[in-house]
Amino acid sequence: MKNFRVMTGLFFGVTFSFLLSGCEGASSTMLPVTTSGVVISNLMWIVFGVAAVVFVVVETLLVISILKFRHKQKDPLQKADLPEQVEGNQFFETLWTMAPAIVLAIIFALTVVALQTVINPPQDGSTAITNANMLNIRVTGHQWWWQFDYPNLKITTADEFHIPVNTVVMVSVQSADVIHSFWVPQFGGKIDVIPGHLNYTWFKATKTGVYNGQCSEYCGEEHAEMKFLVMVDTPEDYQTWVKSQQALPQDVLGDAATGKQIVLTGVCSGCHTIRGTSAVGKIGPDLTHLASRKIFSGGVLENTPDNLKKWLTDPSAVKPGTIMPKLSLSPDDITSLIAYLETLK
Amino acid sequence: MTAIFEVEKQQQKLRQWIDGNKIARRLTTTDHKGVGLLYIQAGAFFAIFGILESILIRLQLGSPENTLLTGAVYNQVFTMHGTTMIFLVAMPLLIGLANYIIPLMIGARDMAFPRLNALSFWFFFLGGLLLYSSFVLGGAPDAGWFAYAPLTNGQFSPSHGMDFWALGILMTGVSSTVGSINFIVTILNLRAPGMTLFKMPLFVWQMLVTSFLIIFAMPTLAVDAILVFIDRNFGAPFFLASMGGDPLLWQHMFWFFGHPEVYILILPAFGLISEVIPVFSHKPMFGYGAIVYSGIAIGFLSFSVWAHHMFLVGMNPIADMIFSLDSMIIAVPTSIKIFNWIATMWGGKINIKTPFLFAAGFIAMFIIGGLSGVSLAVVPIDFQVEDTYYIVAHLHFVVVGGTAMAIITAAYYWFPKMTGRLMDERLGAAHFWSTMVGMLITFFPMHLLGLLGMPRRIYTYQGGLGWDLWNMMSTVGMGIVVLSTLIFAWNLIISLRKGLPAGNDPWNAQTLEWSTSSPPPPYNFAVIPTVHSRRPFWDQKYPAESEVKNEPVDQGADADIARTFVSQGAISPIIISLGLMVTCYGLVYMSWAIAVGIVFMFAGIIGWVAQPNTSEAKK
Repeated sequence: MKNFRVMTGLFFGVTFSFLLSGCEGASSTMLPVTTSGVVISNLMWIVFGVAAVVFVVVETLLVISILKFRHKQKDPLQKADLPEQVEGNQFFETLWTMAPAIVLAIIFALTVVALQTVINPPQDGSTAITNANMLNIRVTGHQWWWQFDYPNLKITTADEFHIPVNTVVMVSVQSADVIHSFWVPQFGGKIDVIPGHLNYTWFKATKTGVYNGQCSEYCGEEHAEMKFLVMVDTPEDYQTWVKSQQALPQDVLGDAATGKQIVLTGVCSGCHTIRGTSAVGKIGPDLTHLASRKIFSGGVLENTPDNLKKWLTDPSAVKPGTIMPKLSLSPDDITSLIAYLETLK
Repeated sequence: MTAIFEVEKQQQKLRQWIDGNKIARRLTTTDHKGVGLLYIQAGAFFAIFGILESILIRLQLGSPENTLLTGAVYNQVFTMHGTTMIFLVAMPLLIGLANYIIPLMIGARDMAFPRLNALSFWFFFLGGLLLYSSFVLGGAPDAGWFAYAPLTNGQFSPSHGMDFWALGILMTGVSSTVGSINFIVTILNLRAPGMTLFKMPLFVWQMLVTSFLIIFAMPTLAVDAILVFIDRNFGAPFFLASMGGDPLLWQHMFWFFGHPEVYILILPAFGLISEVIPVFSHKPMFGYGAIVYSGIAIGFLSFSVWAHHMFLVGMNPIADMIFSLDSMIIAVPTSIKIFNWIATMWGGKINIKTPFLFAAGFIAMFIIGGLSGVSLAVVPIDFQVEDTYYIVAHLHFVVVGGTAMAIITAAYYWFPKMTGRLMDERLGAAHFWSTMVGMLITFFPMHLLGLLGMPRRIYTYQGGLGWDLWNMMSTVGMGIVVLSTLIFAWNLIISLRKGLPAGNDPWNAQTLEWSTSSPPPPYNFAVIPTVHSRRPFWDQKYPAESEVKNEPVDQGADADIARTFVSQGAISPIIISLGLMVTCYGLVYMSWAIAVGIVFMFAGIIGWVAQPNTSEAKK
């Protein structure tokens, strides 16, 4: 008897603290920073609240009925000792058919309303920074990295992208190979990235900052390492970023020039694009402004010279299964290469 | 003429050898009790692998950036974990229990098609072995148990793993479909006199509905598997967008099977709980009719909700809303059952033994799994938590807290009937409490992990995102679950050896199987009883005042003939299944083995057709 109470109390206490801890963490859906994300998290609180009430009521009924009617008398009972052999009760059965149905009807109504808000971008539009009324971004999922194009702005980048705060961003997603899923937990719902389909999502971020994104549909060996970052900038910072992304790389001297030669004459240009040069490969990420990014290689590595060295020396050691081959370059070559890549701001 | 005589002589020699060899007898059994035990033993065998796979998963994920398993190995492990637990553990254990118990429950001597029953078992078991052999033949399947296209295409999955997956699924799928036909015919035709459909035990009802689900859902999966095999091996474009196909075709067909599949896993569990709760409460099931109708409703509705697994693929929002609505509607019949179970306990005199503990635990855990399921029907919530650990939490609460707990309930409940011995109650209680604690610690934090943004099917994760503590906790919980499973295994082993004698009716139960000896004789019932109510055995023990106490009449010439019944057994199911297995290997490697396998199958079929009927398997 006492054990039951202790266990039940412990359970509820632990559950409550669990729920509270949902309010932390750099990728938490409970800390949304977009308008639609907030709609969803509010709906979550309502539904979880209803679920918690149902949980408490029904589990309590279960526990009480066991505790109240447990019986230590040794089986088999005599006929006179049998409890009343009740077969049913129309009133109660109707009650607990109607009650869940009504609760679910209300939840469904909330679902419909919330879905409309989340699926459709606001009609009024918002202060636009660019010429277009809304910011359009095309996302392409590759095994195992993310490509971001801004068709109106002629920007192509990978692994991270910037958006201005308080602007409606329309995102279209497509796949270069298998099914992926584009998800920024703090922004709101994800959308699957399916070959042969062009899917859409949108968001309007209301808080500046850096937010984590991750592929959310199993896509093969390195699905776990297919991440990206979204930077929500002030309008001024965003413009600065756009201009720097649109600019072509400067000329380089010295060790960096050696590195540039390696890129242009070697295998690199077969897969990668560096705008303003003869490297126009479309298989791997665009490297034009690689040095401006915080992360690379599908978000696996922080963008530091040491990590670049690790990656260039042996990509498969860092990300097994990657289609980037091991380059037959000497350590000196790699140093020059890194020197060049560091100039691509 | 002489040739035929020779063949008959060889057959007789073979028959004599088999009869003299205990293992050969067990493997060639066609008796439903023998086949049921084979299913249960095979299911337990594969469960060891399934649990090992989950241990590996939790060890890898217990800490961030762990290097215990590479991505390539982890992906095979989690794919096989799901495939094993669903197709090689949960379904066979449920079907095995049903096989053993249902003929006894309805007062029949065997299933309608005993050899077909054995064939179902061998298709499943050899299909499972086929699947597992992939580990040493170039790599196990690694595209997830759900095998989404185009990841499964040869271009992205070059090893033979997915071929083994497709063919293994085909073999086990044929097994369940054939088995379900057997159950439907048996349940509809072989009930004892007086047992109308609405006097059948509830486990029989749920298995009837489940069998219909299987025969309508499994072929969809079979077709999907064949299509992906053709895509991979003959360059067909069914699922390749670049060639005019569509990856979503796979998903629609898969989930059209996949959703009924989860009800295939849970409806028998509902039936098992509906047997145990009334017995230990000393009352009839509260609202028998509601349980029956809600089971049928769930069966129908389960075919209308499949795309709630696809809310993210970019369907029209109207489609989203329809599937959302249906997914919420299906929660109503489910919650009716939960209230009816509690109402059965209410006002009863509850004998808290291990089967009851696990049945109560089932209800407690399933409430949680059901509530998280309802939250997933809310499309915008699903938009956030789909493909995260929130889903992993939901599915494990309903499959482990639900189906697995029900299987364990049934194990404790029917172990005495099957073996004639009682299991140890203290070990049972220890198993129960450690299971509850272990499961909660393992799976509850996963709700949180999903809300904190952790996707599923990832072999590692970076630290510092708030996921580390919950992952470690989940891994610790897994350790507790493993310990509790060891307690269970220990209880099984020592109870088999020296458990107290159980007698016919250790639980003061209500249905016909408890009127037989423990274990039941080969012929089940010397005289098929005539049934007058839903609780025929209970009525024998507690007759109404107006009734004369109905002594089971097991005297008479018919009874003596019945007692001579010995199930015939057959080797043709084994031959046919081996043939199919060889054909499957041939298909994987595109070799002449295909022809060899087909010849084997034909030989088995001829043996089947030519086998003389020497058993006394009459009603």
